[in-house]
Amino acid sequence: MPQPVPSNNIQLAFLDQIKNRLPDKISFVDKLAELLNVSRDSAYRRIRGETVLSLDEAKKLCDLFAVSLDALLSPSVNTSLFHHRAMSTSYTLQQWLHSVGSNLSYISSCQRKEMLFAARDMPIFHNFRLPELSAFKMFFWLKTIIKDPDYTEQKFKQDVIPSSIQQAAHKLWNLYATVPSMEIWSDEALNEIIKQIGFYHECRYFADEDMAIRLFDRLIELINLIKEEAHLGKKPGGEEFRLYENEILIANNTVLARMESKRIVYINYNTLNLLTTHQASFCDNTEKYMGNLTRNSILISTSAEKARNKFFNRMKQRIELAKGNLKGL
Amino acid sequence: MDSYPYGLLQMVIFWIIIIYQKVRTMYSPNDITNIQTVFLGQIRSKLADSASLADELAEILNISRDSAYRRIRGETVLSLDEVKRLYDRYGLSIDAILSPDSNMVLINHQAVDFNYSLKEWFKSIIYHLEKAKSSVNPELIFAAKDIPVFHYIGFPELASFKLFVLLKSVIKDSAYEQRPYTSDVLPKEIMAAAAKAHQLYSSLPSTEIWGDEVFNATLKQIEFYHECRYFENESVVNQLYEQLMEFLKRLRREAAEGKKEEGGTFELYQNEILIPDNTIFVNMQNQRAVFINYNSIDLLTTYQSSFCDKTEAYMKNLMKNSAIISVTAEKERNRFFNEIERKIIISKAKLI
Repeated sequence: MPQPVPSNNIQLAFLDQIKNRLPDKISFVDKLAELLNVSRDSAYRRIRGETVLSLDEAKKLCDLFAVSLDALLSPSVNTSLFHHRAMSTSYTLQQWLHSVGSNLSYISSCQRKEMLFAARDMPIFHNFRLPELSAFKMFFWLKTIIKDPDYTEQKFKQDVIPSSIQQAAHKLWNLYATVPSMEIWSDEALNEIIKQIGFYHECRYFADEDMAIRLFDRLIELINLIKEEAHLGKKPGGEEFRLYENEILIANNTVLARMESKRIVYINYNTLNLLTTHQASFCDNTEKYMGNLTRNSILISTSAEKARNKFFNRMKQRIELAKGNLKGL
Repeated sequence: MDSYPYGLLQMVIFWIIIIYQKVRTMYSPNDITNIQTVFLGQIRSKLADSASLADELAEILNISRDSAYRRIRGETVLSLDEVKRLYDRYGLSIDAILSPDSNMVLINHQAVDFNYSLKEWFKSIIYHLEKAKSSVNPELIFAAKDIPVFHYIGFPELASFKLFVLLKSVIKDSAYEQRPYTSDVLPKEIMAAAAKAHQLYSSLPSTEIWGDEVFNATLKQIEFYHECRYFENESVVNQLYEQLMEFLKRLRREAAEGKKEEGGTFELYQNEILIPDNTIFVNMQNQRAVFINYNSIDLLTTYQSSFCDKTEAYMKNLMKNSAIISVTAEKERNRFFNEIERKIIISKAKLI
């Protein structure tokens, strides 16, 4: 009795994707036969859908050609593949910094480049500029977010963070400074770090009693630097720095990097984790969103001195207020 | 020929072949049943204890029980089309099974714009809520920078204002460009869909982790719209503040009772040190899902297991860093809500 021919449409589509990834001069059948370790004839039968491709065979091809089966199987066109980097005890801070660093180096190496930030919190690279702030931020991640056991009993002082890590973080700041950026900051951009310093002070997680005050002072120093750069519209290395203030709409931290022929979106979630995608339609959406956001925002770099002063003074007032509220321990 | 040594030889060869095959199946990377077994094993783990995997496969793939067994034993290879049917039914990520350590995650994203309307957005939200509702012991965990939009929905003016801001300022829908806010500015069908979503949400148990700024965005938006003269008149603004106060009363009550209006339990945590993203983690009997809010309204959705694991771990960690203020901790609860009340009063005093 002849077997009914089962439908193998997905197999055909899958193999077609693989075929498209091969250079023109390479014969698909030969390559498939070689990779799956089967005869040319068997390879043909798979290509025609007469022989079923097993999941193990699919895996080999997926791994070699970076094809996603989920993308193929999923019913909607609104799906895209994201890369996610989640810091954990196994994926260390060092690796995370390295990965962010190689992304920045790549962007920086392009001829034409720009980064657009929708920043609910001040873009992280600014923190890496001043050693004490940078070390505090990383200590907070390790102790409170990642819960690295090495830091459970530790109190914060700057040299608790290995110097190699501090250097890696500082390198990120240097790289960030080589890329022109457009940043839309929410009015609450400093709220989180202010709270964290206050919280650590209350929990007595600082080695010195006056550490909280010092960190608040560093934060003011940082705000003064950024204010001056906003005034000039330039980063320290001379790259463009456009700063917008947004009062009402930013709910998370998103970065869009634009290079000559490529765009990448980074979405920050769960504090430190990053979702990354190159997918064109997603980049389009993000670009549109950022465009709408700028229309609701005020450009406070170069021009609009009054608005700029108001914005930064408000930030400084909040820091001073938090500093004044610190209770003696 | 003497048959005895021949028989011995035969036996030795027989055993060599058996041992060879054993060793081969143990070590061979080409073992064709390997991933298929893992895949079907994952489906089995999603079935109720009493259900049979063979019956389930036979039904979904429309094959005999016998053929189903052959697939389970790895004697018949599952075709990718069959994999897809199971995938659709169970939402398993194949990529995650093929490369469990992969850092790639497939995410569904649906941006609300002119093509994908707010109405469809609500339809999709309702679909997900209904799915959660129909499962046994669903668990919803919200980490919220802003109060989850559902909460507002019991207050028609407040809800329509929030949605109006989305349409006018985020999506920039041209139909709203020239219009000021009035309480009836949104189509009735959208408000009806919103009410439905609220009702479902309110009947589901939820654990919510809020930062101190959960009302900030709404207050800012009212202030900003007031400054831009996007309100028809002052009485509309007054009404919004009145509803905010009423809303706060309801939240206070729900937190004190640990129960929402439609009966879903309500566990509220206050987090002081992180401003959470707006993320929702849903745990259902045989599926988990993560929804990440981005660009104000759009949702990123994924079912990938390793991604769900990480999000779940993050949420549980966030709870450990937070204080529970529902039912117990009356003092902290009052302090939390009083602080919000103070912010509403200050914001109102600025405008009126």
